[in-house]
Amino acid sequence: MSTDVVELDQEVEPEDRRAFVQRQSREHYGRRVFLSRAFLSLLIVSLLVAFIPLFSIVQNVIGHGWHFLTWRFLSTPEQQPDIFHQSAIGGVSNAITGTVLIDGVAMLVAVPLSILLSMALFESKGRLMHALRLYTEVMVGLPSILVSFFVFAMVVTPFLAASGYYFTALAGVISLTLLMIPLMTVACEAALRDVPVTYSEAALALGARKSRVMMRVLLPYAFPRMLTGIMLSLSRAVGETAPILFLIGTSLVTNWSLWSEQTTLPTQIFHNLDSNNPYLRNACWGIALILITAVFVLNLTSRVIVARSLRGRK
Amino acid sequence: MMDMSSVTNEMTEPFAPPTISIGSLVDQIPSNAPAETVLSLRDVAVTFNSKVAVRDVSFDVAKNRVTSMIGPSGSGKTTLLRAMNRLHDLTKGAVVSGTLELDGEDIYRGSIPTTLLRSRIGMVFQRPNPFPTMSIYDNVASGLRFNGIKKKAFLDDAVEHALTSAALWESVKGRMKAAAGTLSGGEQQRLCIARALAVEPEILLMDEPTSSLDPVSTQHIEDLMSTLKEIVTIVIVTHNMQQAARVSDDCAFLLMGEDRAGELIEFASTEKIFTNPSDKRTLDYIQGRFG
Ligand SMILES: Nc1ncnc2c1ncn2[C@@H]1O[C@H](COP(=O)(O)OP(=O)(O)OP(=O)(O)O)[C@@H](O)[C@H]1O
Ligand SMILES: [Mg+2]
Repeated sequence: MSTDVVELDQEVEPEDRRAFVQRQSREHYGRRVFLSRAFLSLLIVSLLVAFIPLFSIVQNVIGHGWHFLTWRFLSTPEQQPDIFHQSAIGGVSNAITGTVLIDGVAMLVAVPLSILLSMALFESKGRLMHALRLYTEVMVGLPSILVSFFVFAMVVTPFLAASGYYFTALAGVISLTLLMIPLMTVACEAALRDVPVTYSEAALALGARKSRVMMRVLLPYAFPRMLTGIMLSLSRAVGETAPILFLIGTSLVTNWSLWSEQTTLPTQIFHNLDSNNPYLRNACWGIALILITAVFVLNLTSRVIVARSLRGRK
Repeated sequence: MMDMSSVTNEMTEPFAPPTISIGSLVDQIPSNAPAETVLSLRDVAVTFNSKVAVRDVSFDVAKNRVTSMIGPSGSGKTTLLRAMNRLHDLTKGAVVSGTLELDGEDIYRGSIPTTLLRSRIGMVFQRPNPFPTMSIYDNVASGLRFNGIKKKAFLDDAVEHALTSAALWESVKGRMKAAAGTLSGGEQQRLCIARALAVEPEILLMDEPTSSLDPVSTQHIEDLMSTLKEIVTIVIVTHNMQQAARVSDDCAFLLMGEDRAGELIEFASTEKIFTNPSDKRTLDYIQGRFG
């Protein structure tokens, strides 16, 4: 290398310079190949470290849970087994309806609210709104047990309990909605912010009103990313236990009332694990499998929709 | 920091080698004389997901000359250019068939590693794309650093040399540490040319390098090409027929066939293409009858 430098301290002919660069890059090539191999190995190791446990979770859940996936298990409600019939644990239909009811209603409230909120935060410029945006982002990290506690203290105790409703699906809905709103709002706002400004400028330059630009240009463009964010938040909510565990009580019958007690899949897992009946505990695998499948189907659906709407877009 | 220009100038005289530069040799060759081939294309075709984008392309790129590719939008000029330094390798579903040889060696099936190939065949893109997170200096030095050259003296010298070749040195020499984004569009494009030149490529591929520039910057870059070709063979895609006529020595004309796939219609010296083309379709295109 030192000889090259001596040469190059002098005026260099283009051809010499080229020869030098090409020689250097050829010599360096071996090291580059080595470095990229090393980097590749690092990537593979990190893949293994991350995915071995992740795969083994799913593998165990499927392995232990698949034989619970029978129509009987899905369609009969939970039973409290007595001491002589420990295996008579019934099924999960009560938890399925509870989950669909609570998560469904929470979603119906949270999704439109979050989209509107994200538009407001996106369009606004003032300091107050800037502070609100920051606040929303901070709320994403809100501990879910705190939400539960808040709903209990500020909603259940003063209002619901006063009329005799101590444990209700409604309280769970409120709690989950509060949990989802910051998650969804931040995701939707990021999606709007992701739209290249030239598109809204193009629309504005055609004389479009701001609201039109939002509906016709920004929303359609941002839709796939919004949907992804919404689905992620929903997946999170479906699996949450803490924000609802102490609000919704338990229900051993299937019912669709917001005013009655409910059981959801995660809370049933909690109660089953809490019991000392081995059959109840073992059924947790089955319930977990149902939960995982539900989340998987949700994500798959949103991916299909996203892929559809991205088709033909650069 | 970059004060070596005076040093090198001093040293030029005692060390000036008595060799004739290749460039001055080329100037003496009449443009219709056969020149050495650096890159040859034989029956090249590119398909995307088994849809043919361009096919039946065979021509030779001559050393130290400017070869232009013209043709209507969608005729596969960019596609062909990207095949020349294997950028399609990054595109899923893209297949390049036929043979492309650099100095007689097949660039797809031969022994040249892709990274080394790309340092020998540089590319300037349609829109200026300097690395936004790097300074002017670092942008130009980036290619050399990618190739493992760290010696500061060499980098300094190469950066100055490349920027001078790209006619940008005078206007940026005082602000080498400034972010590349602070340059005007035309300056950014010349920075990209300097960045490509710093690696001392044998061939420089340029995809409509002036289409986003004003007439003055365009003029700058066109002037550049006539001097640059002394050190590097240039292949340029352009929509501007005057530009092709002004800057190129050889010219390839592409056109979509019946099934919308691009084909090479004619390849000849620029003079012939623009004065006496053998194919009627070339004449029609030159005269602006379609495309
Ligand atoms: N990545 C890709 N995937 C699929 N099709 C592509 C891709 N890139 C180019 N094509 C197709 O190949 C054809 C040729 O495109 P190309 O960009 O090479 O044209 P061009 O001659 O450079 O046009 P222009 O003058 O407008 O730049 C077009 O029909 C285009 O749709
Ligand atoms: Mg193109």
